[in-house]
Amino acid sequence: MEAFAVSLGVHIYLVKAIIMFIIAALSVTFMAVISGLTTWFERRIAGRMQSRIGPNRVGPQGLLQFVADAVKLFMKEDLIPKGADRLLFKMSPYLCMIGVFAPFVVLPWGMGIIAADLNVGVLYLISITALVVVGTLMAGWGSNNKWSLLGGMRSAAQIVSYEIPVAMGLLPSILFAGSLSMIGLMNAQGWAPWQWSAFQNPFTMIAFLIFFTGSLAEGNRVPFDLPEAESELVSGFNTEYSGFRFAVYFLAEWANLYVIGALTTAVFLGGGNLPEALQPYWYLSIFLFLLKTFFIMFVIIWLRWTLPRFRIDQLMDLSWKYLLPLSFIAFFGQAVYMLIDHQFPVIDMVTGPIMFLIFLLVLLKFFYRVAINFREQNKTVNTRA
Amino acid sequence: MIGIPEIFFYIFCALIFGSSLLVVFSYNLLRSAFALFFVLFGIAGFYVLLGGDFLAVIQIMVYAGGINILLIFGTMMTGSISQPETSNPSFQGILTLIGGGGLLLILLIILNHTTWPSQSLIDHGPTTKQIGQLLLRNYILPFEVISFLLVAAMVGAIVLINKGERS
Amino acid sequence: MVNTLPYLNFIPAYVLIGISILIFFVGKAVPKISRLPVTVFFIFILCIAFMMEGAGSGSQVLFFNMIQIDSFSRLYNQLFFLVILSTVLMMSNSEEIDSDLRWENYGLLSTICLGMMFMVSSKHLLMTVVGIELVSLPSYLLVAMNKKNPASKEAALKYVLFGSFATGIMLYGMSFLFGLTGSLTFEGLWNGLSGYHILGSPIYFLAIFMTLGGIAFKISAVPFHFWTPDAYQAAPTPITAFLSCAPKVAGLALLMRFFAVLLPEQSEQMGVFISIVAMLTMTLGNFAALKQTDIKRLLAYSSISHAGFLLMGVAVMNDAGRQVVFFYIPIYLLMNLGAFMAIIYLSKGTNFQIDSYKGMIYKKPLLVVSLAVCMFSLAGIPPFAGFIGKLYLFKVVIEKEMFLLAIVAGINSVVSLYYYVYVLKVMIIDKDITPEIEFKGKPATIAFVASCAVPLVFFGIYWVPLLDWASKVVLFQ
Repeated sequence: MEAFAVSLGVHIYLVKAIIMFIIAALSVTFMAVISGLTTWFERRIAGRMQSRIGPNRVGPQGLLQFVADAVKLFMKEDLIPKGADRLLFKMSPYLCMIGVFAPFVVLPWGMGIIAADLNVGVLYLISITALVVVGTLMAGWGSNNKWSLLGGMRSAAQIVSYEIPVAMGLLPSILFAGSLSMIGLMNAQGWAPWQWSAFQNPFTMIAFLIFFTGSLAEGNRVPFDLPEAESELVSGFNTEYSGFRFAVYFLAEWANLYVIGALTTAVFLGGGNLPEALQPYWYLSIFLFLLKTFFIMFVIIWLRWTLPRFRIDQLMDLSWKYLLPLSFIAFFGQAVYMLIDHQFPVIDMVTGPIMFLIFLLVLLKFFYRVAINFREQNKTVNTRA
Repeated sequence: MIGIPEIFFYIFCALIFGSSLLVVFSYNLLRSAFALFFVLFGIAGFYVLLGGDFLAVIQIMVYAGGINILLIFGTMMTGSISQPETSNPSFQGILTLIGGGGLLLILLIILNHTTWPSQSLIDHGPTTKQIGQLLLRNYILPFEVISFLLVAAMVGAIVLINKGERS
Repeated sequence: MVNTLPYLNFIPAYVLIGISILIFFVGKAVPKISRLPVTVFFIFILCIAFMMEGAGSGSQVLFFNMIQIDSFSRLYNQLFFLVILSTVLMMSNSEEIDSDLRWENYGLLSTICLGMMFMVSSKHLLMTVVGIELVSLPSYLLVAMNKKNPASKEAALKYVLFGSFATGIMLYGMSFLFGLTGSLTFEGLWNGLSGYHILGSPIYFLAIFMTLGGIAFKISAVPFHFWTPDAYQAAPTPITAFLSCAPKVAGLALLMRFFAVLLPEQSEQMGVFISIVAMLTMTLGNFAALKQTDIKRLLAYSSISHAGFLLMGVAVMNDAGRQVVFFYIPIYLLMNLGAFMAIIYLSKGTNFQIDSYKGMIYKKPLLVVSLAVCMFSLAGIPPFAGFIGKLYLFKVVIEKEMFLLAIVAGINSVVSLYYYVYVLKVMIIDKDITPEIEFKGKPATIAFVASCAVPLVFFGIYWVPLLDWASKVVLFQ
């Protein structure tokens, strides 16, 4: 396509710029729609979990609720509180938005389908969250509101603390793949669950759990949603925002959810890898990737409506006293494992399936418990009736 | 003809220059701290232009994402950050002006008159591997010894804070 | 694959000190270990390290041109162990040190020790920076840990700000050097700088001066001396004594190693430059010391001026100069540490005013006589060792025909006499008007000062053993 455009006499840079814009526009549009849909998704799930219905009026099953919400938000008056630092107040949403959308440069969509396969893709993805931190701090300070300030500071403290376990949790996978690029990380895994890096060996499993927990905290999700704890801080750093600016935060939050899901999928859960026979159908890999991502998003939402919130000291303890040392152990263990694996490649064949088997057993046990719970619940409900 | 790298070079220059002016001349200490973020970000841009992809990302991660955030935190905790007399652009006297201006002038003149033995960028390949090998081979001693420094700094900071809390 | 682990065989003392850092920092957290007598343990480690350095021989370049082990580095390392040993003794006799924090203090001291060892053996600018920072950072912390003087926090902050400023300048200069030569080892640097259009050009001087800034900060040479009086005054006195000796020695040794591989023309230029710095440093130190009323500040300025004197030996840029510097350093350590130890004993609380020492001779005659020996030696009065040290410094300078430097140094020696003698005059001649006070210090303190004073007298009369020791200090052997 590039070559074709150049042959028509268009300047090469112009062509590149246009292609960039198209890709960026596609990503942003996808993101806006996805985050909108996710809000609906989450509200419906929340409804189910709390034995109510959730939004079901606008569109089929309430699917268009987010459009209505967006329109409502645009109509609202854009307020800037008295005494606010106007520059910082206005700048903050942009930074948060950029910080959440910048990862889409390196987020893959399937096998080999990616906007730009940077050599240091994963690192770029982790480090670019700095923009979000600065954005939340700006919002917290600029709002001239103590709840906002507390929320912003909590958020920044939390993200800075959990950035370390998250990065350390990624390291075993990076060691395993021997690459920092997202495509490299995905290619190192296979289609089958025992080829995924999460189930490679005990250490990658630990790393996966650490990474997932840390990501929840970095994304300000329950059980780590202290920055926007409604019962304490009204709404956290975005208390004073209204109208379009608030919509931006809203969007950024859900986009962040997708980013966490996609990163987990790509690095730990095999990405969009397809079995040999299905390789030619590349669109299947996009489908698979999105499916896994949505599953992870579902798990995060599920956690939100299940677990209570941590206290701030517990939060910090968890990060510095447990996750960080554990991630060091995982990193060191993975290095040792790779040394041994280098000499006895048989181990590699065994540990993957065993780990997956253990995972399946845990899952079975879980379903079993759930089944029992359901039965008991029905009984009690029936007897009461 | 100006190529794409040059355009980006000037964009980053403008970013760094503008934000540094803000850092120095802003009447609000906190705005200075926030502006510093963009300075550090712009420097990461320079690294990208020089082909140091790993370094650029680490620059953002460590300086923009870590140190600067802590700096902003520290600034938020200090009192009276928006008063010009205790805040940033306080005029320190004519001697400082002469000293700073003189240094700038000397640097400008000397650096302008120097011919640097320059090497063209040979390739833009991934640098992560080379950095890793250098760190664990040629520079292993400083790399390991610096960890003592970090431990000492950490222990010292904890001791000082502990002492402050007790008294 | 290159295995660097066998390299560690050549640097046993470095490994030992590194391990001791970890033990001291971790030890506090282990309940059973923390009750052990840590001071004895530390002294034991230092003695072992001293013997390890004494047993080594030969010259080795290790870790891909990072450090050089030779007789120069070994002898200086031994000096550092001795200084730290006496500092530990002083610390256990001082009230200003929080005895709960012994483990941390000794850990920080070990870190400084490791840094100084790397400073004297470094052969690479990167290692130099790491060494200087390893010395600086724990120094800031030790200054801040004065139990009695709340001003120590402020002084430590000044020290930090100034230190980071100096490091920044040094790194900026190093970046120029790297840009000009593409090398960071000392040899590669000077060879690269010998190109005809670089040598003597403005950028050449700018880069080298900026690089030397960081080292000048450590030896508190002009114009990087501003931190010295404040930090010295507010720091706990043992730490002041330590800072006034050890890091300076390390900085001077680093300077000598940095200038060890100069080409003749470069050495000419650098010699002139160092001698100018030396003259400025000693003059400023001495004239500022004249006005001081606080004895710690006075000794701070005196240490600045002594740094200037020691720079004389560096400025001549030859083996004789290096040996004379090494000859003078043990003497300087003895007189400085002795003076500080006497102050620890004599002073009450945070009061270090010279006036408060009136008539001390009647209360503690032995101590004040020993202090007088140290002071006279610092001033360079003939029968004492300080005089011999200065004599040799003058000798090498005059042999190199640096007459201006010799004259300025001579004038300074005379000026310095005034303030040292003034202290003694207050202690000996002035009548005491304050009521009798209780000295809380132990008799060991007096023994310490006396054991500093006796060698000063001895070496003043018979200095051959010291000269023999110093003659072993040769680079790359």
